[in-house]
Amino acid sequence: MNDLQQQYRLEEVRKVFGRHQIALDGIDLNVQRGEKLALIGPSGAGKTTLFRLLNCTLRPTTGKLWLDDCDVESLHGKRLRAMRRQIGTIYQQHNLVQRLKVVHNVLAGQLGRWSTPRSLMSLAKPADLGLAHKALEQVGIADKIFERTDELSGGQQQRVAIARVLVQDPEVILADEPVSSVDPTLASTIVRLLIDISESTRKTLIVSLHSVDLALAYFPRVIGISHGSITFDLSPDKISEAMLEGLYAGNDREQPATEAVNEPASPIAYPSIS
Amino acid sequence: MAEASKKPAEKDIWAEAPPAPRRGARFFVLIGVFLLILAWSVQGAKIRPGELFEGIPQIGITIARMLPPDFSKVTDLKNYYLPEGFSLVELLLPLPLAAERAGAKQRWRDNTFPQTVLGATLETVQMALAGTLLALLVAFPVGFLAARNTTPHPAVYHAVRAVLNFLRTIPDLALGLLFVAAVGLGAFAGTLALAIHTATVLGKLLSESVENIDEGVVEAIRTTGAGYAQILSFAVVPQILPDLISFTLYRLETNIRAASVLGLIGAGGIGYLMNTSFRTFQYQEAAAIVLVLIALVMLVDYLSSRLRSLVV
Ligand SMILES: Nc1ncnc2c1ncn2[C@@H]1O[C@H](COP(=O)(O)OP(=O)(O)O)[C@@H](O)[C@H]1O
Ligand SMILES: [Mg+2]
Repeated sequence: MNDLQQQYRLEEVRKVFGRHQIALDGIDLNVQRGEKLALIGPSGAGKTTLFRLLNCTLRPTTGKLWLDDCDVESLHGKRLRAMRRQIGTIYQQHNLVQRLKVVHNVLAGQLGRWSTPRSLMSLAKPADLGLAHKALEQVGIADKIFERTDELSGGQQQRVAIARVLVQDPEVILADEPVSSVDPTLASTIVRLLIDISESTRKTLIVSLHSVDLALAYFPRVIGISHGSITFDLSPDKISEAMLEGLYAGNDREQPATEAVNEPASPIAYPSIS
Repeated sequence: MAEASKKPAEKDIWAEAPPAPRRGARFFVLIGVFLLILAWSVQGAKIRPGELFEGIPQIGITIARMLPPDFSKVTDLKNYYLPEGFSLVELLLPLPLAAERAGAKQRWRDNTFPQTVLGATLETVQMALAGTLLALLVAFPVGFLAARNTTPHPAVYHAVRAVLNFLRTIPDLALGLLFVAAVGLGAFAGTLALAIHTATVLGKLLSESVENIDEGVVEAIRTTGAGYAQILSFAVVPQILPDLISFTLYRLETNIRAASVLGLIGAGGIGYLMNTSFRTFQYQEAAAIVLVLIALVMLVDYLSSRLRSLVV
């Protein structure tokens, strides 16, 4: 599987919520294995929705999505879970289990490999301390391993989320606005950390960013999205000020995220994907 | 199918705000209807302030008869009908005894002790504890089945909800009567009644708690490739744990009260003794029992609020 060059292929992908809420309106996209790319675009453009399609949380309403040359529409049950294991996601709101200790959140990256009894026992006594410690060391907060997650700052929680992805050791890392809640210095530190991880292990990396400057500075390929469509897909030196202006037309460029965190519940059991 | 079950939720959240309510004629009609219902119910409930007024001295007289409370039934050893040749320690602690003496002790503990104030009080506590814990064992899985976001199938969700809603409408006294008829007089009947009633209430409360969790955490755990049980134990249970504990403690407090009333229908607990004392006009004795009961309820409320502040 690993000699395949193609990681993602999207053809005419649309995602419509309810009847009329068009989140993605015909996305065509090819991503090669090991590529690093940044998504930029105003709030509500569809970046989060695209990530949720890429990590097999949502299915396209119409269009095709291939992952590792495998049509995700054909994936169910065990095979779907195995595919999800290959994609690690870092969320804007961290989505950590606040009441658990850091070590459990980090080791949650192993859930795709662990049996259910093993995972339950790990909640009582962490099953692989060494692994968790190594991952936390890599993100620079090894001393927080036994602290309760809700006692950490926003930046530290984001590092825990990254450590979880390190433990998961997926082929693809998706990061949805990972730095929108931290200060600018920390933001570039975290972006560089993600890039280092991607380069040292040849993982595909897709990051959406509020800060255009970070995207242009660190990524060889930058994609602009607005109103659910791709407006440009270029290397940073070919992106003009006019293109950026067009991308954010009618929107504040650096505005903080105001999107609803409160997404509708997706049942966790009967649809393996929703 | 997944898509179908998702749609209503999306509509709820992303729908436009509902139109502002209109005041006016409707408002006054509602007030009128409310007053009519009030008048009708007051008449039906035979509320006659005159009689209450005349009755006030009678209440005073009854209370006066209860004073001073007569604690002899609680404190006097003779009221415990201790079998001969046993020390208190031997009776109350599970010590090894010769077969014949063990039999005598067992008879006393099973038949005599529960008829005494102390024994009945302990039995009340045990009924409430057993009823609540049994209920928790049932309600814990049921809570997931009856929550929209964790149910294995929409059909299961609707079926479990329907059963819960139906059972919850049966008062625990009615359940008690049913079980007294089925398993005979005594604490077992009362405990079953408490367990069933509590299971339906806890099941419903837990399912609501599950539906209110942060779905983002579920999504994040799911994307690691976790399966159903793993998602429940890592993403759902940690989030509902505070609710789980405080609901259970709250139901335990309620069940202590409920268990003391169940004695009125012979389903075990201290209510039976209290009723007997009142019926036989032993008001001073009844007062002592009521005081014991009040002390018990206060103690349990206190302990459970301490526990709650420790864990939540
Ligand atoms: N679960 C959902 N249900 C309904 N509409 C949604 C849902 N998620 C996103 N949307 C809508 O889809 C559009 C794109 O949203 P999103 O992908 O969150 O954009 P971005 O991440 O770029 O800010 C928005 O108009 C948003 O309101
Ligand atoms: Mg977003």
